[in-house]
Amino acid sequence: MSRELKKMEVEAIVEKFIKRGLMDGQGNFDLKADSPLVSTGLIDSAGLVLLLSLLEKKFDINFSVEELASAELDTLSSIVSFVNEKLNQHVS
Amino acid sequence: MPIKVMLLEAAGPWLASRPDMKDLEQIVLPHGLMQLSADLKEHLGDKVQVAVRHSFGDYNSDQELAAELDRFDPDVVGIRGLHVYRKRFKELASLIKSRGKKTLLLAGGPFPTISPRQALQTGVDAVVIGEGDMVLPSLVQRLNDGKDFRDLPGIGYTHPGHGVVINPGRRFLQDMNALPFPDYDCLDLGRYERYLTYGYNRRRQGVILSSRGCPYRCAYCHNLFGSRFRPRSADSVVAEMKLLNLERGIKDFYFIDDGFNLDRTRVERFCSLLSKQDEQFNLYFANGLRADLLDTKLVDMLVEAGMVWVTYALETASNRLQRLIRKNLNLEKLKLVTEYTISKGVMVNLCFMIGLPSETKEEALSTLRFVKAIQGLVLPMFFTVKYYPNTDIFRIGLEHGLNLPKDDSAFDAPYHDIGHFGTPTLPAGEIRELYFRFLKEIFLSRPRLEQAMEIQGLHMTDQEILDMYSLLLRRRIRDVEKELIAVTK
Repeated sequence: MSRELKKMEVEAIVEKFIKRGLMDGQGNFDLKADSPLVSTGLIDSAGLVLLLSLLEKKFDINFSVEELASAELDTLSSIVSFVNEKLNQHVS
Repeated sequence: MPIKVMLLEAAGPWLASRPDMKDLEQIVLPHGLMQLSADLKEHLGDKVQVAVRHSFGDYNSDQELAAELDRFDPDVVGIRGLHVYRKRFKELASLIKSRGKKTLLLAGGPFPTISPRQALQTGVDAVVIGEGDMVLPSLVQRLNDGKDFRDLPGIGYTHPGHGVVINPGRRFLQDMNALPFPDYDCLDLGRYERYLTYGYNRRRQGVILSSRGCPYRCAYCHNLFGSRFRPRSADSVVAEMKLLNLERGIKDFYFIDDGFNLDRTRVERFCSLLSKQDEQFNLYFANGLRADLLDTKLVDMLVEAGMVWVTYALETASNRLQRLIRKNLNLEKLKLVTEYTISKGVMVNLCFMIGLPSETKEEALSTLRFVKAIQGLVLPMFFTVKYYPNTDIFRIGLEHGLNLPKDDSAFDAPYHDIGHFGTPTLPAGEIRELYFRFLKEIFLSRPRLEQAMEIQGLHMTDQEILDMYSLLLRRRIRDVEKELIAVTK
């Protein structure tokens, strides 16, 4: 799978995860790449770790606790970049 | 015409932080206000009419509350709350005052008792400091007689010429058995079944306070009820439970004592009384039992009596810090008792806190290792220390060089997430890392979740389990197996 396709897949997983956690499921919530997620309470630290566990399993990667704690993961784009960076390391 | 009194719990979102998750919120009967309602009715009979309301659970907006205020048209409103809801206090005071009626507005409970001057700044007319069981009936009696109440002990108010006046406080109530049982007629019990209880389930709940006061001197405690343990008799407590079962069909009882098991003889009598009856109750010691005062025999008795949930407060696995915070818990005994309790199929909540004065990273990690080593915890809970002014831990923190906020911003730290400013020995970044370690290696550990759910399955419905994890993860979980178990390692 190309890097671009993987990036799109990560985006889709994150978006689905966020939307599914909301009351209205797959409803009309408009998730933008730079919408704040953690600071607005759409997801919290526990949800974030659960999301990253899901991505770890999906892509056979592993995030260390130190990596999780030091990353600023407040938006869809920052989460996708964080995962992509790990995927790229994994490939190389 | 009776004097009309509305007692209002100042509250807002607790664990569920989004409006779309309100149905998952833990909203518990406002026991203290129900007790005051019973006190008022006992002392004043038909001269008083009381309504107890929960400002968050009973209304979807302040407009709804305002409409009820118009309908009930109270002569007195008493707002009760914790420090964390002090902003809500102010909003409610403004709302009530904006009606333009001659409503006497009082404040009571933990926030006004510990910080009466700050509470008076919210716009209330007076504060009732300490236990209101005797003060409030006397106050309402004075109003009924057209007399001034401001000389009553335990009252604080702002005098136009002399500023804030705080009358010397009343002594603590000595005979807890003299209190009437809390009043369940003053509220709509059915409404509380829409929310989660302290046991994360949806039940017709009975809330029991079987004692007040605690002789331990834990540095983080507000010590609201004093240092002398004042228990009700086991017979009185069981009589209240049986009455609630008979009259209201309640089978699930949530205990909110600070020290339910400080008197072993009383606990044994309590268990013996409950074990003899045909009806099986479910007992939730949500506010905790002191683990190192238990042993296998007493745990067996509690299980026989109906215990399905217990909270044990570890706080820290460091003996040095146990001494510093004066908890002085026997850690080995806590571990043995916790493991034994779990082996009996009881849902165990183990709490600890990180960010104590002078706590090192290694000490914090030792606490995580201690918690991780206990198999089958249903709810391990990571807290960060909240340094509230007027507590010993605040003073100890200052002595250890913590840069504590002098204003009241400490009260704004979120209950459910870390939000800690760090200490000289444990910077904020390291606390964040410890929290992520806890989430990844303990809370979201697949073996722990599987063991926990096996125990939960004994006591909770599938939907209640979904609701509990939805609340804890603050996301709507619809399939525990697919969305939680399969995702974790």
